[in-house]
Amino acid sequence: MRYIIGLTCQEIINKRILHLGMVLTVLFMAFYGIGLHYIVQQPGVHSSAYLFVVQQAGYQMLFLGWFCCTFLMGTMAILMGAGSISRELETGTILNLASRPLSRNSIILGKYLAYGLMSLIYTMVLTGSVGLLASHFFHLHIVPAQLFWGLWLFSLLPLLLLAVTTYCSTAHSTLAAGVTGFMLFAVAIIGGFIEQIGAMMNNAAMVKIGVITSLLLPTDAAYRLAVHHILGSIPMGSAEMTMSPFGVASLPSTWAEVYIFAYLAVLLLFTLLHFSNRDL
Amino acid sequence: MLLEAHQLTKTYGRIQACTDICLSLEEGQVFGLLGPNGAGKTTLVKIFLGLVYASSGEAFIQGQPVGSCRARKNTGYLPELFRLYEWLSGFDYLRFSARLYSVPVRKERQAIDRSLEMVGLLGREKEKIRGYSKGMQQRLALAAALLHQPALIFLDEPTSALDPVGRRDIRDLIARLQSSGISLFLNSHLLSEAELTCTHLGFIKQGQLIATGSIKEFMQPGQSIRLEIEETTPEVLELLNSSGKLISYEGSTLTLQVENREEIPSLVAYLVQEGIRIYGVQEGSRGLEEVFIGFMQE
Repeated sequence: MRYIIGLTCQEIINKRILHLGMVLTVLFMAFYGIGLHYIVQQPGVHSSAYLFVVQQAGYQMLFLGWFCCTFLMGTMAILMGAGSISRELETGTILNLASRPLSRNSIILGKYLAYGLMSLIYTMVLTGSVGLLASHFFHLHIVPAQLFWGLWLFSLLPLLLLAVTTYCSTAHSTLAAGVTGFMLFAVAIIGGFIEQIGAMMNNAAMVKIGVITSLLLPTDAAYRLAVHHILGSIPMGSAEMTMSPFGVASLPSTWAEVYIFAYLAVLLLFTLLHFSNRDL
Repeated sequence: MLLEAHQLTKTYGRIQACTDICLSLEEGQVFGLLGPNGAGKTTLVKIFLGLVYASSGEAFIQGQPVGSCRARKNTGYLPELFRLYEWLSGFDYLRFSARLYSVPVRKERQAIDRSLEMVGLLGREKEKIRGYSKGMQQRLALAAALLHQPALIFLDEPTSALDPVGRRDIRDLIARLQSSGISLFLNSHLLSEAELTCTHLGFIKQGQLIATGSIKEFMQPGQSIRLEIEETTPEVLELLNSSGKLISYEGSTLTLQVENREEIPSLVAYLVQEGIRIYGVQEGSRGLEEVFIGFMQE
């Protein structure tokens, strides 16, 4: 399996789309940083009268930055996972692996671990940088240990999308796997928004919609859990958390973490079973 | 027994790709599986490699069930539609293959150089595969199939991307591999190639293995003659089919089977007597093409 991990990592590094993605990510970070810089450079912004407003703006910019990160992380994960197996099947390169003394499980797990590792590094760097930038400009209260644990939770988001698209990739074309991944991601996002707005408006039905979409794909739950863990010192229901749908007006239950891990495990198991039993 | 298959059947819905295939291959043999497009040749090879699961029946490579890692450990495979990882160099691809086959690290370089030399790519291994021609890529894929010195190599159309010189090189390579004790299972459309390289043949038609045996058995029975006649009418074909002599025809050229040379004058006389106008008679041995067409027209 380690050779599959090595080969897949080498493949990712050699892809031009990754280089382009990296350049665009750096651009994103640069624009985000410049934006934060100009907000805090506004005349009079440091006066005590504006202190509360600036702090609120800082938190909202942090949430917005992290939410944009979920798009970037999600897109990267979907693009990597969608073609992970189907592209090899379509081009015939899978025969280079499957005809060798190698179990099919090790092909799937090797690829998933390699893509997962890349996603993990990308997520850690991206969301960590956004957190540190916002914290630096707005003097937000972020505890390093909480940030670290929160980044792990953020990483569950691309891992979930990777698992979904890898499963689809063993059964469908690259395009179909990618479309399925994006559609499910979009459903989870909109469900998350409805849940948060519902919580702000005390509308139980809207919150339920969010819970149902999280059961379908718990990426939004992973995002909310991560934000909550990092900003654990901010009480639930405070203005910071409930001012926009990017905050955490409705916190997923403690079972959400268990559900995410169970979801990942079951999906990977299905992927292994499906790929092991199909003709190549 | 190196390879044995018992009643292998593969169905895709209502389509039977292979039906009750039984065959065996012993060490040192070069087995050529011949059949038209869509006959089930590639499916059969894929079953042997565990890439496709048989619907029923069983097969073993050196006693290990096909599809198991143990069975694949001692086999090499050159797919018909080979595609390699083009971002790798030739050397990196072979090193990756060597590691998958558990070639000891200290013997890795030696094994890579030996297989590169065998396929005529030594000196080009540092180049990226995307820069290789199709023929070079096929040679590299073949090198990967050889580098762990397997007991059995499956070659699916091994010369499809090669020029005539390349084809001759591969034929020579097959002969060298055979002399070193390696068995080969060859799928090929090129009958001349099979005739020159195979020790044993199998003919597959619509998923059924209709005949197997040594190449001598197939080439032995009788000779053939080519007749140039005025016109190949249904009546002429009916007459020849009823006599069991017709091997094949193309336009006004007929290929007929004769038991021996002495039969030729009497056969020609009989045909003339039946009103067939003959403009030319050419004696020839019964080639694999005639054998093949004979089986396929049955």
